Amino acid sequence: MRRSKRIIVVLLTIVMSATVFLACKRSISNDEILGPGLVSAPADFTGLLSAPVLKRMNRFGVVTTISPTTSLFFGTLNSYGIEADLSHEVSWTITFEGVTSTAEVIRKGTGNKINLLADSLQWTGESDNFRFFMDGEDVLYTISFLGSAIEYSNTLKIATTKGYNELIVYRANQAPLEYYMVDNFDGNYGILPMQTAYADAADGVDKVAIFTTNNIQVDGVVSYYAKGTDASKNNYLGGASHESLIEMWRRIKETDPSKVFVNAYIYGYDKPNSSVFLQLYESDNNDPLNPSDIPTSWVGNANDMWYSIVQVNWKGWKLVSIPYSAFKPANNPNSGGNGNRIQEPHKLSGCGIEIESFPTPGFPVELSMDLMTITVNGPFVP
Amino acid sequence: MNKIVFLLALVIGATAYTANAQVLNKNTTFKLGGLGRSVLTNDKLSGPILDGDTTSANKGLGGYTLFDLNADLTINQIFNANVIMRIKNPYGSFYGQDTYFEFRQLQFNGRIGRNLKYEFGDIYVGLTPYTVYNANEPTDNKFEAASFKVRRDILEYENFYVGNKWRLQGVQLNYGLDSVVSFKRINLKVFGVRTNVTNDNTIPDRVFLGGRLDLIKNDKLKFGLNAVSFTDLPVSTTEVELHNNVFTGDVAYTWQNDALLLGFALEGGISDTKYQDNSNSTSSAFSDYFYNPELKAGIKSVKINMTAGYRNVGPQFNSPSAQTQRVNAAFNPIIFPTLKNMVSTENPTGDRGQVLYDRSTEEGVYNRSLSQSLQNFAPQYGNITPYGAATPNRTGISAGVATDTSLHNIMVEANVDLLSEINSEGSPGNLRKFTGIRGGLLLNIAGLAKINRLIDFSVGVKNENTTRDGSAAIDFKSMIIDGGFAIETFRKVDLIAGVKLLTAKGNEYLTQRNANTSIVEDYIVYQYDGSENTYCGGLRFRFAEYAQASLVYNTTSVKRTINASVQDYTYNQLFMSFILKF
Repeated sequence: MRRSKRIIVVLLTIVMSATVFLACKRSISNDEILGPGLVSAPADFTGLLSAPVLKRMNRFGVVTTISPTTSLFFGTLNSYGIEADLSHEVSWTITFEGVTSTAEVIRKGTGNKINLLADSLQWTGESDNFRFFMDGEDVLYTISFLGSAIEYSNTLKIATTKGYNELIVYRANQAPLEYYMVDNFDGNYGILPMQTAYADAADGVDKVAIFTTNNIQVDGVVSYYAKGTDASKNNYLGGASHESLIEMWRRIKETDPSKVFVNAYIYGYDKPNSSVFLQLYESDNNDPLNPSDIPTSWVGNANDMWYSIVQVNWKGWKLVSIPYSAFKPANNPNSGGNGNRIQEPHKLSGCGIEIESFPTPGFPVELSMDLMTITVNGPFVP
Repeated sequence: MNKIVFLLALVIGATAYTANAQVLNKNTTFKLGGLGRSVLTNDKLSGPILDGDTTSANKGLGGYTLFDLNADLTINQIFNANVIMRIKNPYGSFYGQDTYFEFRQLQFNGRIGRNLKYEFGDIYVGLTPYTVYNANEPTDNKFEAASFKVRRDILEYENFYVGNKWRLQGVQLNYGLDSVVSFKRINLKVFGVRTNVTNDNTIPDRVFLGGRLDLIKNDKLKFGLNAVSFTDLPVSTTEVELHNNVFTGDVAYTWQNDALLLGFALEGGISDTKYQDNSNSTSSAFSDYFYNPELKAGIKSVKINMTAGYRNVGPQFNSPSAQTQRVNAAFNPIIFPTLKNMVSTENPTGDRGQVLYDRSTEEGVYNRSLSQSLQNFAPQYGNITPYGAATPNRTGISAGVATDTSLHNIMVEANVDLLSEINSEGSPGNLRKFTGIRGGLLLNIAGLAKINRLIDFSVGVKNENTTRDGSAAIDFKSMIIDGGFAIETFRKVDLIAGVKLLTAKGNEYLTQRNANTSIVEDYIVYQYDGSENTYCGGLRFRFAEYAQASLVYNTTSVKRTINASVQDYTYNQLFMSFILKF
């Protein structure tokens, strides 16, 4: 008996050891480095060997050398790069900073040459922070080097930013990403914006403030700001929507709801009971394939409204992207609960937002929103 | 608020009455315990950092009174309910306007049959240093002065730090059996908690499951098997999914006689991580392993214990429940949070940023939840093992010598770490080398001199040196000194004083990791030159075993340059506290 116990212990030890050691595998070999390589500037480093060259690549991949004083047109899907020769191999950083907007984009690399286009580091007009570059803005770009005080700076001018209305970005091995502006609250996209503000009268005079403001923003000059207390304890504080709910009619062609995303930048003020209801209205009684059949107005008791709730329980800006297939149908028969209850993004006719004290009514609410868009074939990519 | 308090009292009273009325057996008990605390601080900031600044706050008065009522109802051994209810009233709120009420803890536990124990609700979970472990801070506060210990106790209580366990919400079962096959005893512990709540949309529920099987052969030989797993429960529209599994095994053997104690311990295991981002159809998967053998020796005649160990923790070993840091380095202090003269392109809001004193006194600096990925850290506070023993990408030797715990009047400890990276971070062919020495002395002078008074003295030092050769060379040195004393001057009145001194100098590269996967993405140049020194002194009144008050004046001198940011200021704080436990 004593011997059998010993055998069991030995076997158990062997099995445990073998199991652990046989399972051991490291998906990185010892000679691989983690992250990008770094090279500090040597003592005799002198920086750029000549003035940097500005290059433009159009949407078809054709590269042209342009004058540094030429304005940048991101609106036509151009991308831009810098080329320069360096005295030594070094890790370099190029920072593009919007003088007005404070938008910023950074490119990094290591070598004795800088060639953003060849290294697929082109600047397509996007920013790295929650602030977009603006039309007509000056951009200061600075080239700096690891371990050296040498810097090179110059100024560029943006003629047009990328814009996100009716924009199609073609991508390798993926379906093109389509952008449709709902509202950036600046009213400068040539489309009908959502009605700017209405507040719940039941909460009382001056209990809710909803307006556009230039205090903070992601895109353009202003954002949509809401602050108040749900004094009536009915959850609802106010909101905005397209005036006739037909302003988005026939803009989205996609029929698969899983390919359609509703996106918005939302700023939270650390008031976790603040929520925004995103509302999408479908016009079911009309056939969007028939161009002459345009509804005169959206009828609540004959069409669908789909909604999604975003609890703004964070502080700062956040990009929220929700697939349309995750939206839920409204139940009130007078406000979208009486349509065919089939998600049909190609029948989208209008959008709205509601500010709510949710999940618990009666609480103070504060949030900001900017750049609400609908994208097809993926979530919003700046 | 008065209504709430009244209702609360009614509920407690009714519960107690019901429990007494429906006495199931003689073991049914209802106990009340609690903690009351009143804290008041008077803060002042001065120095060159305020030159020309007429807008930033430089004075402040704050504090609060709180009371935690602990109601503990035991019906019998099968069922115990434990509830802690908190009422907190910040100073400066009139007529209880900002007073709030919350449940601080809700827990059910008990025993079913002879061998199964269960816990529901708020549970404390801890396994091994590589699986589930709330690792101590890298600043190593073991020898800090009593004047800081007063604050440390508050920080740990407020953040639910009990030993090296994490406080989570879920269920935990413990099953034990004696004499199974050839084992003296086996124990099986399993737990399941939810660490993330779904929004029924893009964010999935995340569950954290795990357990440990203890196989105790006899008093000398013990085996253990550990498994923990983070799993997302995706809905059809889930944006991201994380799956992380860690399996480890450990063995410990101890032999001793009247003169010697010899021991061997080993833990080794693997981690496997998969991360899927459905929004852009990208995914990453990686696995890694670690092993950590350790020898122990004790000489009983001189009451000295020695340890020597070797570790190899892979660069992609990923165990979030063991690698979550106590201190959240990104948290900006609440007292004097922003300063106009600190506004820059890199710091647009002018955040003051943490100094060593904030890390020793601010409740909000500490993490209460598990972090999915490796959080950033500041190297001056600890650069060798910022994520505890499970810090990835480390290999080398650690050794230590310490007095036996049977010595009550003197404690001496010295440890050395000689570690290096396994894979280079950003510099091909060049690895960081870490040398760390830490130790301290704690003397109970009254005990040694056989005086019936409290006279304690402590001093601790931690010195770290990080170097790397090559084209992205590193040379970073830091030293933290703790020291202080507590002397009972009048009966139950202690004079307490202490220092916390930090000096650091050199350059480092801060590793920037993907917030979801911990994969290294970039490095940021970090240059530090300066000091963060705190001196404090005051009185502690020990009215009774369950009540004490303290009045401590702290002055912190910060003279540091981090990259181009020059920070030169003095932060004075008068701290008063009254604490009652029963």
